[in-house]
Amino acid sequence: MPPTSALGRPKVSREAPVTPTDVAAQRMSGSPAVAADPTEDRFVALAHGVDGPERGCGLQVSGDSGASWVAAAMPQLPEGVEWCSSLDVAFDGGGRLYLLFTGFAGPDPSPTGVYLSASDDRARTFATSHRVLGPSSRGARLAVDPSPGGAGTVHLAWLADSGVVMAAQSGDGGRSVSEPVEASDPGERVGPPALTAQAGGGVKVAYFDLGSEDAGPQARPRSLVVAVTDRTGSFGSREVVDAAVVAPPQDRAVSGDLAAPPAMAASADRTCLAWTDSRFGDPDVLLRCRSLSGGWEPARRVNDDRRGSGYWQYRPGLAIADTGRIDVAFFDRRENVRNSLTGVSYSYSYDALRFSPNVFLNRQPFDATLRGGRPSTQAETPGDTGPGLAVAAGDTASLAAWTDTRNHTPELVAQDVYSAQATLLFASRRPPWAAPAGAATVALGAAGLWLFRRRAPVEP
Amino acid sequence: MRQRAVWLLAVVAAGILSTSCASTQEPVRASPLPPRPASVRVTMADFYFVYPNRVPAGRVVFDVTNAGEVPHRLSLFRLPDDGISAADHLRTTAEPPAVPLQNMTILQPEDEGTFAVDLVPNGRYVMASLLVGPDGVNDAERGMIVEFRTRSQPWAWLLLADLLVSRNSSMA
Repeated sequence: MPPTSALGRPKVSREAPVTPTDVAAQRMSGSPAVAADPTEDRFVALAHGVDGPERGCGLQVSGDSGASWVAAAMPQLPEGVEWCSSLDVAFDGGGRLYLLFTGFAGPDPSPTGVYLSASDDRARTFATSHRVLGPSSRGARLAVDPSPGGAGTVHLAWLADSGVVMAAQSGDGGRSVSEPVEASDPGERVGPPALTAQAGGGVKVAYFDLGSEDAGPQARPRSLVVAVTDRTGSFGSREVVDAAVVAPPQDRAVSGDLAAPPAMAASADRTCLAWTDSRFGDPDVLLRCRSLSGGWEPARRVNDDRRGSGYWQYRPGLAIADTGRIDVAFFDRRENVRNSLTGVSYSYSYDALRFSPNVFLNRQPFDATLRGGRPSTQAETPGDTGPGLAVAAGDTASLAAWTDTRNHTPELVAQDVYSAQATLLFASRRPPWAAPAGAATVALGAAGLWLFRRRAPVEP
Repeated sequence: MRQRAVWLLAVVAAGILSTSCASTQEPVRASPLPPRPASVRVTMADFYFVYPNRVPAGRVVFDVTNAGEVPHRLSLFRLPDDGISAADHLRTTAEPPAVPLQNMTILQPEDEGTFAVDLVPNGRYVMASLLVGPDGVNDAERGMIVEFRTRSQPWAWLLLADLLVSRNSSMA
């Protein structure tokens, strides 16, 4: 267990309801994706799915770093698209908001393609949506070159019908898309991807290798792979980050019930991956990072309950702040003896070796065995409250958003998205000399005042 | 002597400024930030609600506290303008019986909870606790039921709403 005494306990905000509850309409919101504007980190956008009463998607925005949320208008659906799902959001370095969604139509229903839209006015209006991928693209993810100034290249990664993770990019906001390239080896059987883009065009794609000999939809993650683009834009190298992944029980991987991809985040000098792993006897959240100069660090257990406690921690969200702080949030059932009610825990680290004490972000636990507000048919599956948590890292605070069933009752269906912030004192982007210099100046000043008063002549 | 004191104070102030100003960065975006949603603080006591006089339409966040000594459970209903009283609606004498917009979990004494709802302008709403006590009488019958109508109001009223609170009387 790494020592955690050096890392302070963050201050946790009140939980904020992100989506409106409507039990009468049996509204079910979930599957959040969140991003903070790099030009104004008080502005945060959160896209989410709506599973009922009619399927669809929504966009909520915040002007106070996620302390409160209001609804924003979604882009107009393209002709032939009846509803949207599977959303992702990202900002470029100039503050342009990109929204990616999969369109559906028909009674079946059938996917019509993956669409990209953008907003230059903080989600007040959106440009026309462009179809960027075909209907057979599953688990599509979005990342934007974060170079300051904006107009960054938009990168896409998805799981093709052939079972291969593909990637492409667009330099004009989705009007045209490059020829897709294979990110995973066609010989591998893989899960859906996670994606990061770095300033200047570097792209990393992470996915689980499900093992080539397994057949059928029961294939389970066996190893964690990262593919990195080379100078030509193709994925010249694939690296097995962890070859000893032990999938949580009954974690379905493919064929209509996509396994959660690993969580991935990258900064200028570090790439990190977090995922659910049962190698220590029950589902835990593990993290591995690689700095520019070295190889992948050994896997670290982020949750700080007793190893093999029997309580599940799973489906992490991950982000890296500009200050280098690594933020991890995850579902956590440690406080429920029946292992069904879950909370949301948070921890941070600066070196991927030592983690802060876990703190709960939610005050009110909720039933994790509900999916879409209804009892899950896979009640033993970790992550049955949706495809994980969404995390956005600011300089001094981390924002996490999650699918939450606290408003659900046996008689009345309800599923919402809630969020909370973990604020860290003394973790702002001030230069390293500022704090000691300020403290020294204050101490000198105080000492001077004391000397001055001591030497001052006493008036008779 | 006084000059030395002023000089020392200036040095101290400069030190504090150097630590605080170094972390600020001015945003350079033209579009305004989204507004905050309206917030309504509701206190559940034994057996009444304390809540703002005016509840606006649109996105409203309810922050609910149980300040009583027994558990309570807030439910929020939207009712039609049908002339039937809120109490009768909740006794299901109306057809169809009212279904809540929100049905919070039971709040024990000192517990808190929060939820958001989208309220329509000039809508008729009812807050009630329908939790049944050990004697078989529910909280609403003891007075924990209150009807309100949403209003579109100027900002000044919304700011005052937090200050102007009501204690409801029994409608049962």
